[in-house]
Amino acid sequence: MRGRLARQAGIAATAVFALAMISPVVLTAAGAFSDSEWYGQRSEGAGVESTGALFRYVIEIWGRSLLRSAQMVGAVVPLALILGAPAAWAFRMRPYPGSRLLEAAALVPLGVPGVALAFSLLQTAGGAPRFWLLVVGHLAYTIPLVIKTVGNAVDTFDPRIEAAARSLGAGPLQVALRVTLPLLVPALILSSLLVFAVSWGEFNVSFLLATPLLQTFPAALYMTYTTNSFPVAAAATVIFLLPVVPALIAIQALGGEEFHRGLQA
Amino acid sequence: MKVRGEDLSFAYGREPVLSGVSLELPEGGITVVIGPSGSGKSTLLQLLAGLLQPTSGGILFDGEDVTVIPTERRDVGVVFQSYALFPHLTVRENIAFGLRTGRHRISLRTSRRRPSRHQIDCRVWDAASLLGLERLLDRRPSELSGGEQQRVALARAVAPRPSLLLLDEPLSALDARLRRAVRSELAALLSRLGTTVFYVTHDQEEALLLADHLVVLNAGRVEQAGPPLELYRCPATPFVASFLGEANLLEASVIEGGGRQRLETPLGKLATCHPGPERRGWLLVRPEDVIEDAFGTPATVVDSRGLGPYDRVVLQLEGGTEVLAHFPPETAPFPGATLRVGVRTRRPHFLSDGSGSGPRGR
Amino acid sequence: MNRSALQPWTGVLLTLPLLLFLSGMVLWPLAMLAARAFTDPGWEALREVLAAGRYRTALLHSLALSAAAAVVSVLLSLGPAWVLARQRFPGRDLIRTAISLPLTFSGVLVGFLMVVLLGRIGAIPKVIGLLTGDERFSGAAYTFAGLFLAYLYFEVPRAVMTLEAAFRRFPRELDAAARTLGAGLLERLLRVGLPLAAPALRSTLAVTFSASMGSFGVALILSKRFTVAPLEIYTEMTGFLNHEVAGALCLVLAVLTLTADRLLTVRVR
Repeated sequence: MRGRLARQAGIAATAVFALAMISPVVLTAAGAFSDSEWYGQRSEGAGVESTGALFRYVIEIWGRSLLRSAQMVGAVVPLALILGAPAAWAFRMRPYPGSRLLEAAALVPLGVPGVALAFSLLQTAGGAPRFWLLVVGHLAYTIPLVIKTVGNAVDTFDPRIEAAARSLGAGPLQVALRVTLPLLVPALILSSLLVFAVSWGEFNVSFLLATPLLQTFPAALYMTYTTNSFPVAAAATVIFLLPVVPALIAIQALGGEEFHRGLQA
Repeated sequence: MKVRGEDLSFAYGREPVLSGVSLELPEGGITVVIGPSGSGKSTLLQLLAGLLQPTSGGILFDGEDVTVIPTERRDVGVVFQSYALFPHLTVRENIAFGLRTGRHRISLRTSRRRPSRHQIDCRVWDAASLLGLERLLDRRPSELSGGEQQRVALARAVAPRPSLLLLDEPLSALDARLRRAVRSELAALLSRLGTTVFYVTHDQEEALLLADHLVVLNAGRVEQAGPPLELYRCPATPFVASFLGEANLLEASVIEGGGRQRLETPLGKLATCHPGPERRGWLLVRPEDVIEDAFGTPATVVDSRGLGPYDRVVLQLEGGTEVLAHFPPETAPFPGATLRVGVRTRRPHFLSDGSGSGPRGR
Repeated sequence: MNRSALQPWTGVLLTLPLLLFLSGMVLWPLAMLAARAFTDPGWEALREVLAAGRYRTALLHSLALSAAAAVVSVLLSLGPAWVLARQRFPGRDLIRTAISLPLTFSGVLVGFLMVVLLGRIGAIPKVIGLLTGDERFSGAAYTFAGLFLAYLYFEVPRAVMTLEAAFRRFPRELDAAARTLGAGLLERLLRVGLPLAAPALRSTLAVTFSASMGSFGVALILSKRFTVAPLEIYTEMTGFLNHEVAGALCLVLAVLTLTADRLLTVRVR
């Protein structure tokens, strides 16, 4: 049947497309685990001859950046949720004059290039502790994701569900803790994963705002790409991907649709 | 157009939806398919429309096998349950949609070319005025009420003058009052069109009002098909009896006496006109056929509710069987009262035990 | 006190931290950026940026590259997005995850991947060399084509995901309705599919366009001569410490991106 054939051809083409998309990633990862000449010389000397040594070497030279990225994510994820989630709920369930404007303003950074925001932050608050300036930059681009994800979840609520809880005698606090919060748990998990993935990979803002000691891991990747041999760069890339892949799989499983919006390369 | 479905089966994966459904739609008549949700009635409509392919069986339009002909080349019009109006087009453009694609249509093949702009305008106007949509032509679907959308969906389906019009629960999205008003309009309109109509519903009043030919579907099979009143009066199975209207199904056994067969029922002994081989079965008594009878069975009134045109009375017969009766309001007894009841003997209908599943409680 | 009278205040209270953060950390700095550009010496710099020269060229490069990559990536993504949204098949989630993987990649990483594929000792030239004995496309990553390809690489996942979400919301019945009215595949695509998909296409263009307007990692790795605006900002800022020009460039870039975003996502009847 013609329709069936077209369907299968479409699926096959999509599979090939996906394969093409990940092929450079796979090639890179292979480079970190193979000692074939094909992947080029290791100019770092005898310390990086084996795969294990290669990874040890990368962690040795970029360990500080890894730690910075971990600290960054550790600060950005909870802050983005605290700033974004209650507001997302309020925008839909307790709107007030001007709340729509605020919601629109929260999405503005999505349309502002990272360099521009980073530069303007540096100009107005350059004296602030740099670590927190970096956190602010990350928050500007991750809060919109929280607002959209949590907002979408709130949209699916039956608007009378809180009224129902109140008619059963629950006070506002009880409604929040026993009805609203449990219903929002999946969206909050999804938001955390999204914020994590974005913050972990963020380069534009971090690179411009960070002092040399504060460089995050994506910035370290830049250094390694420009100074190290291919196997070292490949190993660093693999370390970068290590937490990203499970996060992405979880995001897909949770149906994270807003993920792509506002991610700048 | 004469439409036949022969031994149609359809399954979603391994789950059978329709199994061996055969039916024939009378030319120019309204065939109504009724059944509970999940009975496969919408699937049957989609098979006739060509939106789904049967896993086995065939579909004939005027004797021609169209089973593998795609929808767009079948001469059909469909009114969808959700109306499926094109949100980006005005009412006028929605109605004209099928006229502009018309080159495949048998009904437009006479001129061997697409109809001219003028022809299209005329056809749109015809369809719009048929449904009273003249003033709404430049609106968009989002600006219409539910009833108006329903009329646009119908106008769009009939504008290309299809030989087979398929309607999938077209009134189910309307509220009860509007549904009642639109129902009679629709009945008049459909008979005026003279097209062969296939109409899917789960509403028995709608079915009885509209149908020339009624098909009762249950769990993917045809329970019974025929003229609607025949199905109402002489259902072949307890399912049909209780699905079309309210029904009392009383245990009945056939007894021989004096060369005549009679039915022994909780409502007394009754003469039967259906002497079959079976000895046990069910007597169908419609609530309106339960009457006060000085020589009848003693009964106690359990509950009585006035519904306007009649009172709905639940009676408990001597022996414990509960029976539903419709009494004229002025004669209706109060709860607790005792009285004697019988059956209007004009039409006792006996369903033998072998006829399908047991009775559905009412 | 009446509880319903209290309700708007809960809204204000819950959004107050966000309001403070946004106004202090996003809107105020951006406003200052604009204010500086319109007062001397920023005004001078803004005029310099907009006059013919290196800066304007960089801005035009960014615009052209982003627009072209946005359009091409949307075209490339239509098919896969449709298949992912409308077909069920084993491995679909795996394929979707594979396509979405580059979403988290910074431009630098994307640039590196391009080098892996098409650098001077890239995989593609090597494979071609093995097959034909003649290594072709070596160093293509550093050409304009390589840059364009890299932009496509990070835009395609964004386009596929946005379009897929839109296609999944696409009412199936409308397609069925068009078929029953006699419309063939092409007619359905042109008269129903495209008009209905238009808003999704526009917002996808907005997403991909703004993603590339802000990208400078790719150019940082790949670009030898060809410069884009974010890269220029970076150079002015860190290399020459020319903050007036950097600020003016930032402003123009932000205004261009936000305007395109608005134009593309604004509702049209």
